[in-house]
Amino acid sequence: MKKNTDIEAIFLDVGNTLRIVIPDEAFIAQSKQQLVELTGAKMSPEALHELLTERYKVLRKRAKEELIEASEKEMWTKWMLPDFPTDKIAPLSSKLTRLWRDCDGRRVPRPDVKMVVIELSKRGYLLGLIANTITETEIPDWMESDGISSYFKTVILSSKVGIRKPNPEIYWEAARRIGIEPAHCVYVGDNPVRDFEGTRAAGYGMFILFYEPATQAKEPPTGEIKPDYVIHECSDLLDIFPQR
Amino acid sequence: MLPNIEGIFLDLGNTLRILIKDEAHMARARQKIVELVGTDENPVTFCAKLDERYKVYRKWAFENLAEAPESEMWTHWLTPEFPAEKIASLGGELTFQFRQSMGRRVVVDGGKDVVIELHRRGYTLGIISNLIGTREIAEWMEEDGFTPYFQAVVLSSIYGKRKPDPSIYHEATRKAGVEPVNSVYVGDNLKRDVTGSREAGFGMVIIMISPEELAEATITDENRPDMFIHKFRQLLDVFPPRK
Repeated sequence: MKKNTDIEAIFLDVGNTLRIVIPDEAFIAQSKQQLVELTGAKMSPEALHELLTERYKVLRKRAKEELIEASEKEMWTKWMLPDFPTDKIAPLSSKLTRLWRDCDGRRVPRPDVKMVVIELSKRGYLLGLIANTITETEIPDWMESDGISSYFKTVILSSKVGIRKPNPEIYWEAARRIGIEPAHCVYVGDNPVRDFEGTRAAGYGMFILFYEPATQAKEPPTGEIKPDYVIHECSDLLDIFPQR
Repeated sequence: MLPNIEGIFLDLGNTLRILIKDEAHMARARQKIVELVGTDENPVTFCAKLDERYKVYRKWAFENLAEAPESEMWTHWLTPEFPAEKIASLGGELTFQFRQSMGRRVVVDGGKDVVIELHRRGYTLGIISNLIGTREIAEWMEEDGFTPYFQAVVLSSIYGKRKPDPSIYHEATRKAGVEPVNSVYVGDNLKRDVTGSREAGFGMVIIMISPEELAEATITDENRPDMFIHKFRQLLDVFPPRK
């Protein structure tokens, strides 16, 4: 039985682990409208969104198959809006990415995130984030505005490093940056397949599944998935990791 | 700003229509061709030979931006070993069957509704297409009830020049009675459809392409159209009712 205090670094997923998406209709409609305004596309917000969705699907498929992530700039100039001049779209790519994500809904942190992050840090664990995401700026900005940036030693975003979970490289990169051997790292995520296989391949000491019914329904576990723990709230982590 | 578009000119192949590889349909056409020509050769091998010779013809057509008259295509390029006087008179029928031997052409999903709606919204519609054969398109348009919606139908097989020669675009706008600058071309070919309609002074060019093909394509400042669409009916999102 491995001792939980052997764990020195705790890496957390973002989507559906620290934050959830609220499908706020008014917010979504406003985001679609802003996409039209920012691009100057001469079509309705719904039509533009539909067009972009078709292109995004191809990009997503490649990302998932090859475990790579385009930068924001590449995403918009090459994949999403190749019909616009590159020099016009490139400077807008960060804003466009945010609006595009906002078309899914409003992202809000789970209520106990901040308390848990502060407490784990106080108990002597190093904290990091590893997320598959298309945005390069929104997550760091959220961490800053919610006052949790200083508790995280490293933030690994697929859009910045170019590779995606479950490529073991991304977990190794995280371990390297935080300066802890993978065997002393734990990953906490909601995807039973990707997060389990990736962290195991990377030699992480432990994997904790954040049980999220939506993820389970969308990507049901195949084969044998054995997380070390299954949690239902962020604060369950406090029962797993005592003072070091 | 969108230019003030009055005329919408459509490509046919891979835009308004797609080719379905219907084997039974193709086999019937191949049989018809050997009967017309009067050869004992196996229809499949004979038509395979025609396909090879057609490639040589296509190369000539591409290089010269020209289209030969049907009879000449057969007497000179496709079946030069058969008596010219007989073949020349069969040129029209042979071309029709040869096109059918490539597959069955069907209108894209929602194609007719979109055409009718664009017409209703006050746009002048036209067709500009590179193809061989002088009768197929007129017959198909009549049969499918497209004829009344198009003011101008310009085919390389009849006009003699091919896209991207600017004159074929100008012939279409002239027939339709609209200015090139107030016209849009909707096609599928990133090279000739974009450069050709731009050189002809068209106000706008739209390329219809699947998102998968778009992801594979290399887009440069030279071949970038004003817009990519993925489905024909998205034209309705781009062109609102004219005031």
